[in-house]
Order: sequence, then structure tokens, then C-alpha cells
Amino acid sequence: MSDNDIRLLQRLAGEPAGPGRVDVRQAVSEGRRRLRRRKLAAGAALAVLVAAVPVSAAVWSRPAPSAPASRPDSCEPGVKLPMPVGSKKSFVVAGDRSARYLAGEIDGRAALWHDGTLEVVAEPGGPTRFTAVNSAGLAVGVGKGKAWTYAAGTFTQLASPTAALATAVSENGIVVGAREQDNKVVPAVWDSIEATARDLPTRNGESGQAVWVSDEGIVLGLIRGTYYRWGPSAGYTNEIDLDGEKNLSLDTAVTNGQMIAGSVTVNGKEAGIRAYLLSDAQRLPDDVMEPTAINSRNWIAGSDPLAGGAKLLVGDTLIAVPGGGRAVITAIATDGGTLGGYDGEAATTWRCQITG
Amino acid sequence: MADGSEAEYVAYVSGRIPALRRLAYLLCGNDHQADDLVQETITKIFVRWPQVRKAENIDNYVHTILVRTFLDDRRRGWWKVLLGTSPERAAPAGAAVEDREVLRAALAQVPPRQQAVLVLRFLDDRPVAEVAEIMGCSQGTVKSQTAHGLAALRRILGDQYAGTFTYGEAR
Repeated sequence: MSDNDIRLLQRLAGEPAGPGRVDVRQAVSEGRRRLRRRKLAAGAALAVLVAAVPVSAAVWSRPAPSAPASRPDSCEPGVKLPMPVGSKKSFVVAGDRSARYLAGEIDGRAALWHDGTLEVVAEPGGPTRFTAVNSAGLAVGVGKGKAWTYAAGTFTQLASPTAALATAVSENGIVVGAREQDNKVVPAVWDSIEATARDLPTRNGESGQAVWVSDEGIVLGLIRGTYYRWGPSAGYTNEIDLDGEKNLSLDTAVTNGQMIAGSVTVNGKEAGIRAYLLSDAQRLPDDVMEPTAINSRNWIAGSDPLAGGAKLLVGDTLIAVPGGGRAVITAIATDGGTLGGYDGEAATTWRCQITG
Repeated sequence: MADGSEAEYVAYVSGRIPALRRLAYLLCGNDHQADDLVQETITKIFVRWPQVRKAENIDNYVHTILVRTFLDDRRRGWWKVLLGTSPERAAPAGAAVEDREVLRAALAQVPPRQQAVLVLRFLDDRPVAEVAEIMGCSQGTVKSQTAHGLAALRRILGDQYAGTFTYGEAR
């Protein structure tokens, strides 16, 4: 070993800049939660647990799989959501966590329903589609190369120097999506409706878009078929591994911030997968091979592209959703009581019965 | 922690954050990642506080938790994207700042345990015995990993930046 080598290395000596953001109170709070979970896990051999892991915390630490306390035994036939007279085509793209707000599109114009009533349809020149809505009724969307928001009767264009789109919104109003930059699409975040787009870096500058955001500003993105997570600081990319096949590319995917559900191609065949962040993937039943929605309890809606028809996967139990071969579920309430989607003809909502 | 040891934890950790951030920064080479690492470390310390507080050398025990958290993070198969500065963009020669970026990028490619040993020995100035205690291995292993780590560093720098790195400035 040479002294030169060591002296060279010692050039890296230094101190972190600024006061930092280490938070002892947060460590105590998160530590208590982990201890509680450990106690529960130790004594829960027969207990049935509700998945009560906060989404933000779940991003940082893998939650233990747990069974829901109750399961919907069946869903009633869907009810079409109202449209203006003369409208032809509508569908639901997403819902808030209660599914009381359902967001989507009517004839190429963004539309929002609240408790089964049509709240608003965008004017021509406004957003063409809503892509997400939170439980305060703040909807975000896309249209004419702009990222849009809507709340309480007001449409707003989000600030971006280039064409942009919005794909998700947190409960406290952080919006994420993507914008164009130098012939690429870069993931972007708007910290508030008034904020200008802030770009999120990707490994080697690959194109991609952000698809989920927590109240703490933790963002998940989809980049070249792989999920990224950006924390308050660093970004990470996650491999999807299944049956010994490494680094599979997601063809489609949905996420609730703690679990990813999507479809991949393994040895030339399509397969549905679900995976907690940081964990290996698990194969989904063929009935939900193409996942289209996931709620905060990790209930997954999807369909089999060959057989058709929408199903809901609750833990390991499959529940059929009435609506024929072309039905698609795009929103699941946390309690499973309400679903939103498309019945093959129009935007539709379903009621499902929960029994103990 | 109803016996008052939570207050003891808060007092201990609050006083050690600057030292933990410094060590985390030396390991990660990035302020933000260092803060992530320290946050996770002090959370683990809270969970294990009943054992940690009984340790003969609490500081070394805590540094062990920090180093293991760093190593776990590197092993998981998640690759970090350095914000602002990516290794690919680091300039090969010139100003001292650029040299540091090249060096940091090279150090990040050294196997994680060897990297941790190099940081603890030469950037954090710890004696071999203490590094062995923190790493949970023998002093002989620390010495061999030091040699392997330096050799790897030389190899990486030589491959990528042969003839351009300004070794002379280190003298």
C-alpha cells in the first residue's frame, strides 16, 4: 500500500453541509411503530389483522403481509355514472381513497363525479382527462400539452416551461407527472398548485414519469419498465424479479406507494405480479393478470386479457365484478364498498358487500 | 420505554447526530443520503435501545449499526441515483472538486465492506482494532480488506482515468 494512495483517498475527508434534516422525534415515532408491529407479529399467529401500515412509512420499511379484517363477498351489478345529454363515451380513470370522488373523461373532456353525481366537465380547451383525485376533491389531469388541476369549480394550469402532464396527487396537494425536456420526458413534481415544475433526476437521464406521491413528497415513478423511488433526497430503482428471472420490465403497473401490481413478460408469456417495494415479486392469478387498480389495503383489481371480465383480488380471494368481458376497474375504495371503472359502455360505479 | 430510558435515548442520540452525520457522509459522499442513513440508524437504535445502552462501548456499537445499515443498503440491489452529481458526469481531471468527484465515484465502485474499511481507517482515522470491532471481524481481515480496497481503487482509477489523474497534488 502506498502513502500516496492513502493521501489521495484522504482528499475525500469532509463534513456534511448545513444542519441536516435528521429528526429524533420521527425516529422515536417510527421506532415505536416498528416495536408495535414486532409485538403484533409475535402474537398474531391466529389473529386477523387489518393492513394499517401508513403508506408513507411503508415506503421506508417493508410492511409484513397481513390479511384484511373483512372481505367483500360479492359486488352488485354496476350503475352507470351520469353524463350530459347527448354524450357518447365516458370512463373512470381513478378515484380517491374512499372512491366517493371518481375522475375520468367524457367525450374527450375531463370529468369528475362526486357521490355518484357529475360535478364538472371541462370546457373545450381545458383538460381532456383527469388522471387522479384526492379525498379533498382536488383532481389533476392532462390536455393540450398542459398539466391541470381542478378544485371547487376552478381549473388551473400548472407552471412548466415545456409541455407537461399530471398523473397523481397526494392528500395534501403535491402533484407529480412529467414534462418534456430536450426531446425527453422527465419526471416532475409540483410542490403546490402555485409551484413551478421541479424535475426529478433519473439514472443516466432516462426518460420516465412520476406516478405516485405521498404527503411527505416521496415519489414513485415508472422508467423503462422499472419503478423508481425518490425520497426527500436520493433516488432508487427497483428490480422486479420473478421465478428466478431478474430485472423484468413492467408492461403495465399500478401502485399505492407500498405495493406494485403489474404485468411482465416471463419467457415469452405474460404474467401478473405483485411486489412490496424492496421485495421479490409474487405471481398473481391469471384472472387479474393485468392489474388496473390497487387500494391502500393492497386489494388489486384486474382482468385476464384472454378471458376478459374484471375481478377483485382480496388477499388470495377472487371476487367477480359484474359487467361483462370488457369491464375494467380503475378505483377501489379502502373499505372495498365502492368501485369505479368502465363497464364496457360507460363510466360505472359498483357497490360491493363486505361481510365479516 | 416507560422506565425513563426514552429520555436517555433522546439525550444520547441528540448529542451524537453531528458525529453520525459525519461518518455517514464519509461513507455515502452525499449530504442527503447521509441524512437518510442516519435517520434509519437512529430509528434502529431506538428499537434496540435496551441492548444498546448496556453495551460496553455505546459509540462503537452505534457506529456498527450505522455501517451495517450502509452495507445492507448497498446489498439490496437498489441502486442509488446521486442527485446533482452522477459518476458518469464526473470530470476526469482538473480542479480539486472534480478530482474529488472522480475519487468518490471510484470509491463507490469498491466492494462495500472494503469501502467501509477504507473510510473508517483513512477518512475517519480509526485504528485497526477499532475498525475490527465496528466491522465485527478480526484485525487481520481489516488489514487484508484495506489492501484489497486500495488495490481496487487504484485499478478503477487506472482503468478509467489512466494518465489524467493528478496524483502529484496529494504529495
